[in-house]
Formats: sequence, structure tokens, C-alpha cells
Amino acid sequence: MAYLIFSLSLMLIYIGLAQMLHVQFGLLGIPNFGVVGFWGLGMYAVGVMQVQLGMSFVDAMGLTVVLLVIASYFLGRLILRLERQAILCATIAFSAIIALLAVTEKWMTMGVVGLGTIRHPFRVLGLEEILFFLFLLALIVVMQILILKLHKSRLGRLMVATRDNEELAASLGKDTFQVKIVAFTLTATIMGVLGGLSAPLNQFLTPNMIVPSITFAVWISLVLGGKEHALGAMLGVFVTFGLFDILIETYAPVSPEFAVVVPNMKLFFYGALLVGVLVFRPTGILDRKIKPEDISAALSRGMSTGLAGAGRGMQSFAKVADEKLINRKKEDDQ
Amino acid sequence: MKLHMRDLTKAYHEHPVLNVAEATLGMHGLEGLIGPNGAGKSTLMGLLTRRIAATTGTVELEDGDARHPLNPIRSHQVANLGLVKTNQRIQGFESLTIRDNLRLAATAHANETYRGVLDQNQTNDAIEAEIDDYLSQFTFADPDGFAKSGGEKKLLDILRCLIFKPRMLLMDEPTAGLPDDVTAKVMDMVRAKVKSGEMTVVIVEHDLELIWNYCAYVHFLSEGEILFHGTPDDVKNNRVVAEKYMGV
Ligand SMILES: Nc1ncnc2c1ncn2[C@@H]1O[C@H](COP(=O)(O)OP(=O)(O)OP(=O)(O)O)[C@@H](O)[C@H]1O
Ligand SMILES: [Mg+2]
Repeated sequence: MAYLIFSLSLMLIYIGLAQMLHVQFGLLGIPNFGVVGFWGLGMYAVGVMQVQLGMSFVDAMGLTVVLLVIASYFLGRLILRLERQAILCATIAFSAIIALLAVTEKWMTMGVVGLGTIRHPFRVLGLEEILFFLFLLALIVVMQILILKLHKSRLGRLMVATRDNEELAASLGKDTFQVKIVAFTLTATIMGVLGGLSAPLNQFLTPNMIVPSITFAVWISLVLGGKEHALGAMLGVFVTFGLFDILIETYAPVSPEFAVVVPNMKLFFYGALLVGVLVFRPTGILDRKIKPEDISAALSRGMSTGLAGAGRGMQSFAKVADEKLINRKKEDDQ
Repeated sequence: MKLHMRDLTKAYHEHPVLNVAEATLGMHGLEGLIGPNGAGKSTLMGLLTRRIAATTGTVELEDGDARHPLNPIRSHQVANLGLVKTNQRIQGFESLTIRDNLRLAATAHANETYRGVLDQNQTNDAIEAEIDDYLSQFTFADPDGFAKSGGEKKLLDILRCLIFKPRMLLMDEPTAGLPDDVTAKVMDMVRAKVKSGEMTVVIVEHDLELIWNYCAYVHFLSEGEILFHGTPDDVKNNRVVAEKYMGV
């Protein structure tokens, strides 16, 4: 149970990261390949401030946000005027620097020895994990609602226009650089906040947590789910992390000798799934032309046919039961 | 509005393509800019709207009593002063529908805020009415969908600029790719807006009939230099223009 809550919490973190990448890349066309850098910076900042400086979780998080805003704003200023390939390289480099600093700055991070223990922010005996999970869930739901609203706003339309043709948008009086830098600072900071929230989740931090495979997992999820769709990030993480990491790794009856190959199989499945989706549906499972309303309509239709089916099942069950009852009564009477 | 330029030059890899010592555009309402292929007409328009950085020289936008130097400002600020250009090469926002393209252009940038995300409002009645008006005058195959053909994209580029309500509009070969009747409709609308004093216009065109029909004044650009300017009749009868351009 505790492990399931941990996995689900981690899944929420991944959804949050993919949501932010959706705004950066899906809406604005900024290919941030340094997702793990922002996440890792936030995680280590909260960890160091709590363990080394004895700060409370809330204080540490507050200071971390300030740090993240400064870091992502200046990084944004440096790179957002560049070509997309250059942004891609620069963000990878950024995350590599963060990973390296976690190893080398031992006075702060304890290096490869690791940094711990980071306490849970909610100190209710026995309920820490579940409360933290609910907190993350609320956060992700709020972010999802804001993203759905963003898609229907003037700002969202301008972001899409900036992605499609920045120069043309500028020639119509739009300050596209401002749009990009504000959105980048905001979303990269939230990526870092999600890292900060991962610190108490992991409790013990080591530099080998800051690995590119996290960036790739987030990218794969977003591209699979539909990078331009408001719900693509969430669906993508369900299909990848939810399906493989939680359902298969935790619940599938795998014999011990196969258990070691499961993580490798997972990467293989991610890859195969990605290739399949890109070949048959290049825009991801959720094409941008599918409206969120269509999905909720389909869901509610599915739900109502399901309910209707269940209702009919109950009815026939009741009928059979009635008949049986009547027959038995008849037998009794005889 | 008028545009003044002085010592304006542009060189690509040390190879000069434009050299205008002094010129003013926009004094006569609807003006034409003609010249052979590669003369530098598009380059000049790019320099004037700050889409392209000049090698040397200054550009100033005259608006009533005010004079705005354009050298220190960026492309979007030029547009917000009221100067906008249509594009020779087809440009567009592929993910936006025709209506969203027009809404984007008609919406003031100041209204595209984070606060506005919460009210989820993408337009208002005045803008919708204007869009309906444009779409009733110009037919698209799927007016509620996307611009499909090159002609539709080109027309949409022009309509985006018109609904922006510029005070000065530069049009780079607006009719290339448009059917004749649409061209006439666009030009009549532009002429009406110029007459009513809403804006001044400079048109780059190879279709000389159109230039003679609509323009009150014509500038002739050849090999990066403005060699002659005058009324359409003056230009038609000019020996230099005839030699360099009309192949006489
Ligand atoms: N980005 C560039 N790099 C190098 N040379 C360029 C560039 N853009 C334009 N040129 C050159 O500058 C000259 C002027 O080009 P420009 O597009 O301004 O001509 P134009 O008068 O608009 O021609 P057309 O009537 O064919 O549209 C041409 O010789 C062109 O090759
Ligand atoms: Mg040209």
C-alpha cells in the first residue's frame, strides 16, 4: 500500500512535469530537453535547505521558488532568442550542469554519499504519505484546469501563433519574446517546485536521481499523449508510467528471474509504443482537433451506456431471482 | 502616416542590395513601388518595418506632429505604432482557423494577459461583427475552418493586416496568386480606406495596370536605388524606367 501511494505520487509529479512541457513545447514550441535539470534543482534546493540549514519545508520551498525564478529567467533570456536546435542543446547542457553540481558540491549536497533524511511536510502520524498524495493530486487537478482554460484564452491563442510563426506574430504587434520568457520562467519554476515536492517523497537524495531518462520519460509521455492537446500530458503519463511502472511492475505476476528484465522491457515498450504512435498518429493519441468536450462527452456516453448496461443486468438478475423465488414458493406451496 | 528614410543601406555578405540616400513614402495616400526582380523592393519593406536590420541609415515614422525613430525599436513596436506589412511569400499560422487568425490580429496585445486566462474569453462582439463583415465580403471555401489554397492564405494575410487597422500599410505583391475579382475587391477596399483617411498605403507590384489604376504616385527602384518618382504618367513616360524595366 505504501509503495502504491509512493508510485501514484510519483506519477502525479510526472504528470505535472509533462503538463509544463506541454505549455513550453506543445503551445510555445520551446524544446526544453532539460526537464530533469529544473526538477533536480528544485529537489536539491529543498533538500539542502532542510537538511543542511534546518529550514522548515515551507520556508525551504519559498526560497527555492525565488531561486528557480531567477535561474529560469536568466536561462530564458540567454536561450529563447536562439534557434530551436540551440535551445535543445542549451537546456540539455543546463540539466547536465545541475547533475554535475549535485556530485561536485559536496559541502552542500553531500555528493554521491547522498543527502537525507527529508521529512514529510504533513506531520500526521501514519497519514503523511496519503495526505501528501492528496495534496499533489489537488495541485495537478488545479494545473489541469488552468491549462484547459489557457487553451480557450487569448493568451493561449497567441502562444500557438508564436509557435507557428513568431516573426509574423511580432509583425502584428505581439511581443512574442515577452510571451515566451514569462511562460518559460513560470513553467520551468513549476517544474522545479515539482522537484521540491519530490524531495520529501524520495526522502534521501543522490545525484544519480538527476538522469536524462526522466527528461525522456516526460517527453515520451507528452508526445504519446498528444503534445498540443490540453489533456495529452495526463493521458501520456497514464499510458507510460501508469501502465508500465505501476500496473505491470507492481501487480503483474512476474517470476523473480524475469523481474530483472522488466525495467528494460519497459523501455522497450515505451519505445515501441512511441514508434507506433508516431507512425500511425504523428500528433499523439489526442490530436489537437479532438476537443476536451468531445472526450468528456465520450466518457459520459461510455459511462451512461455502462450504467445502462449495468442497470439492464441488474434488471435481468432481479427477474431471474424473482422467478426463482416464485418457483420456490410454488414448490413450497405444493 | 509617412515614412522618412535617410542613407538607408543594406548589404548581404558585403554585397550591397539597397542604397537609398533620401526618400519619403506615404505623402500621396496610395503609392506604388515598382522595379525589376531583385531590385530590393521587398528588402526595403523589410527594413522599414524592422523585420530586417539595416546596415546603415535611419528610418522615421511621421504621425501628425510626432516623429518616431524606428531604428531603436523592435518589429512588434513598429506594428503598434500603426505600421504593418503584407508578405510576398505566403506566411500564416497553420494551427489557427481563419476566424482565429482574424481574432488574433484584431485583438490588442494588451488584452492577451494571464489574468484573461481565468475568464476564457477569446473575443468580443465588436471584433466578431468585424470578422463577419470581412467574411461576408470575401469568400473562403470553409470560412469556419482553415485557409486551404495558396490564394486563400495570401488573402488571409491581407485581411489580417486590414483588421489590425494600421495607419500605414505596406503591401508586397498582394495580387500574386489571387483571382482577378478578389484582387479588385481588395484594391477597392484599400482605396476606400485611403480615401477616408484611415491609412496610407504603399504597394509593390509587377502588375503595372494595377499600379496605374490605383496609385496616385509611383517610386521606381532599380538595383537598390530609387532612380525616379512621380505621378503614374510621369513614370510611364520616363526614359530610365522604360529602359530598365519595361524593356523598351
Ligand atoms: N537573405 C538574403 N541573403 C542574401 N541575399 C539576399 C537576401 N534577401 C535578398 N537578397 C538579395 O537582395 C536582392 C534584393 O532582393 P529583394 O527580395 O528585395 O528583391 P525584390 O525587388 O523584392 O524582387 P522581386 O520582385 O523578385 O520580389 C536580390 O538580389 C536578392 O538575391
Ligand atoms: Mg520582392
